[in-house]
Amino acid sequence: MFFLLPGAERNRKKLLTVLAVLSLCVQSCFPLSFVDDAVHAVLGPVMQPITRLAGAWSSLFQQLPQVDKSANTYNSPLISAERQFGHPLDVPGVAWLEVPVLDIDEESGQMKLAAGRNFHLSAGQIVAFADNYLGRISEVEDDIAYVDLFNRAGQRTGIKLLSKTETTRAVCFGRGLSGSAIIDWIEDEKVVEAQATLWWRPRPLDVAHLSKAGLKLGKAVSEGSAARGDYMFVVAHEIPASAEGRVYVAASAIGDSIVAEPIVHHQTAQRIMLGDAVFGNRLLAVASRASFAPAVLSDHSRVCGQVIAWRGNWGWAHLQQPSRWINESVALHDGRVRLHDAGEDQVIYTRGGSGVPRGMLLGESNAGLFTPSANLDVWLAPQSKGVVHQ
Amino acid sequence: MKVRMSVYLVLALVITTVFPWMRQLSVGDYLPDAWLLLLLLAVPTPMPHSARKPIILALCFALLRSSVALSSPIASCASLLAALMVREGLTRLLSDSLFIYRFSSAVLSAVPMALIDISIASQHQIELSYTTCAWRVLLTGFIVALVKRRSSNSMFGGKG
Repeated sequence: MFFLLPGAERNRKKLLTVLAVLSLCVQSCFPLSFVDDAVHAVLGPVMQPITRLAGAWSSLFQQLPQVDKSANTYNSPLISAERQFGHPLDVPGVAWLEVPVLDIDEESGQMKLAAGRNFHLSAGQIVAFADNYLGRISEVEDDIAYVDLFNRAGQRTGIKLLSKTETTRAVCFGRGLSGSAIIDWIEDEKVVEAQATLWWRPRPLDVAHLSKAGLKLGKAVSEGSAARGDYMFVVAHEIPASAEGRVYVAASAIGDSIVAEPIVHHQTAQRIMLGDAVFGNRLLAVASRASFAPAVLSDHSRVCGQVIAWRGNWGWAHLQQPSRWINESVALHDGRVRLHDAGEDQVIYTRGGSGVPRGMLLGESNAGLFTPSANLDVWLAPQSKGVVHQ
Repeated sequence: MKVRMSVYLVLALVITTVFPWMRQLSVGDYLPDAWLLLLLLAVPTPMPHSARKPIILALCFALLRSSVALSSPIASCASLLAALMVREGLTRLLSDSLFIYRFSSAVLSAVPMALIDISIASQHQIELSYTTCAWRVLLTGFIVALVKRRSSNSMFGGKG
């Protein structure tokens, strides 16, 4: 015969309860998104009316703007500036295809583009931004292309040095994260002058006129010491901040369009409650019919904050002042785009990445929080899920 | 007097409607979590032999809380159930005759919720200072300790 000890059943229940509560705590602190999504899918419709009720009550005591602006397509000055500044020189027989950038991975020395075979891109095409040569397309998928940047480890790129009388050919060799690309070979072992401009030199199978596009890699800078025997010239180069948004691909044959627009999902949204019962007034509950989980919330043209939780057809956004977007924002300076530096007063825009579209207005960098109006917009750039590494 | 569960649910609904606004008042950040407070006051110590009603109450409160907060229903459930569990464990060790014991057990039962809130805040990079959480925990303990609950005062229709 098998006998349970006195209280064994009760202890078993206790143990199960403790385990259940512990697993809930673990899920709270280290959430598995599919579990939360499933719970929100079931309970979201029940919770939203309660949120609306609480929002209606709160709004009686809050000074909320009720301005009802019409939603227009937002034309970002940043995108216009990137297009104006980034287009390389037109040369005969070459069209420059505008392609959005998804990611720049300095570790692998690759750039990922948001267009591929379907946009008639192919391996070997050169990629540039303004007068900067960036690299060549190495691999093409249907809607994605990979560019080997010229400083990718092991990448060899032809360069030329121009003087008043002659042109000297040379080759640079990428070193990846180990350092700038080194000038590996110089025709007739000529001497390189410090700060000499290093121009890109086309390969024999490239369109001949591309050499007239005036693309350059950077400046020659000396590195190391002759006494140690490691004196060499390297290519001083930085990828322009604008090139994180879009680059230009040289093509001698084109399809229907020469501009590949990045995919950006957009939907109108309504403010349902300003403030959160746990975290205070930095959070805003919004509802939207969006069929996607949005990444960012805007009061039409100006970003209010990032959407941090989405529960089917409503969610929570974290209201952020522009200064909180440090390292995730860019600014226009003399018509050119550059990363926003802390402490500078300027109008800043989103840098893109993590699902946030590039070029959305954040406002003056020193501006405070603003209270969003009742009618809002939610956005998602599904291709830019990765963060731009720079 | 028996206080039925439905009364607590109605009270919780009223709190759910009003509390987000209260949180935005100048001292609102320091207010204790209203649903936790209500749960600790509603459930007697030690808990009834069958914990079904307290657990149902905790689940309902969690749903209401997460309707007006970023915390997911799972996080709210975890916070409220952990609070009940911790308090139940302490109640069996400590007498509730002294204020300091009641205060200690209530403070410790509010700690899991504070930790979970801090964890959620850090996941979403929301500012939630330790000082704020400490105030919430201490105030929860103070209020709960002021209102002495005994098992003889049945909250769920049991025999008084």
